[in-house]
Amino acid sequence: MSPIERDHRITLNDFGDYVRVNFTKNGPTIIWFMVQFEVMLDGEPKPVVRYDSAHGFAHRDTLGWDGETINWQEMHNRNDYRAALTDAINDLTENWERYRSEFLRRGSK
Amino acid sequence: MKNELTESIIAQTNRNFALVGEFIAELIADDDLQSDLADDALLILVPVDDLSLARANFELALRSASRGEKTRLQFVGRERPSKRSRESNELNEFGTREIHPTFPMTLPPGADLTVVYDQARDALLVDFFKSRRVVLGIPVSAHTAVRIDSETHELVGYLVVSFLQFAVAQSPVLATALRRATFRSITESELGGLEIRNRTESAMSDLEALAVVSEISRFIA
Repeated sequence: MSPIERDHRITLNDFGDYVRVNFTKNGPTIIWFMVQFEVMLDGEPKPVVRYDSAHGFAHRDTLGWDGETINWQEMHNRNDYRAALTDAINDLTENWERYRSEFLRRGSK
Repeated sequence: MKNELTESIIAQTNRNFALVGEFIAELIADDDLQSDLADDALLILVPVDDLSLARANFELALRSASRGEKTRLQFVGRERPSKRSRESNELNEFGTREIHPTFPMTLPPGADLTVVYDQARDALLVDFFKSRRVVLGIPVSAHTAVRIDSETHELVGYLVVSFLQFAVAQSPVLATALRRATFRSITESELGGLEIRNRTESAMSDLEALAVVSEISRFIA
């Protein structure tokens, strides 16, 4: 069975904010993933927070106005990417509003 | 659009994030799902068990498509058919970019122009083809929708809601359309899937009523 890659941008609201979901799976196993929440400002997407398995473990990057990582945190399911992918969406569902407002505050400084 | 979060935006985003979780679970479980879906399309998810969110997201898709975005609607929560032969006939996603309204190649004779005013719903319908075409209604602003031929995508007419309360107030010349209008209910087939949710005259505010009385008084004087 060869790996299958998925890469989708999913619109969330009338602002045009979206979440980008990118992962590669081999059968039921996720071998790589990235979830990124992006807000739309003046027609331009700005990444706010990213969850991925780069560097060999699942972690969350809090992003700055220019896309730079200003803070990162290891995810609870650091080696189980399928669980980490679910955790990423759950974390966004609970905290997107705070991540968004903190990002906008950082940008306005 | 301002970037201030309203209650409706927050609610829609919350529900869509939850829907994203369901969609990812479907993607992981089913290798065939979306196998032909282009990666560069903006996906808008349509839940099968939440009518209000489905409607809001469908309108989101229309606005996105009208801006020229490559947009696709994706149903989430559908029970997958077990047989591959049935599955091949399932419509789980469809593109909206293909809808490009165009003006008719030939203008119909004036006698074919139909104007209907639906007093109960304060809506004005214009149809260039005497309501003969099967139409699809597409909202283009808060008060107007274009009506296109569902097959050829030719412009068939318009629908204006809050006609007297808003449109005529903004542009009084529009009132002359009533001279040509037939006064009756607009039928479901003429609406082409559109739903009218404007206020009716009975909901006229005190302020609006006062403005009307003042205007009439000015004429009398």
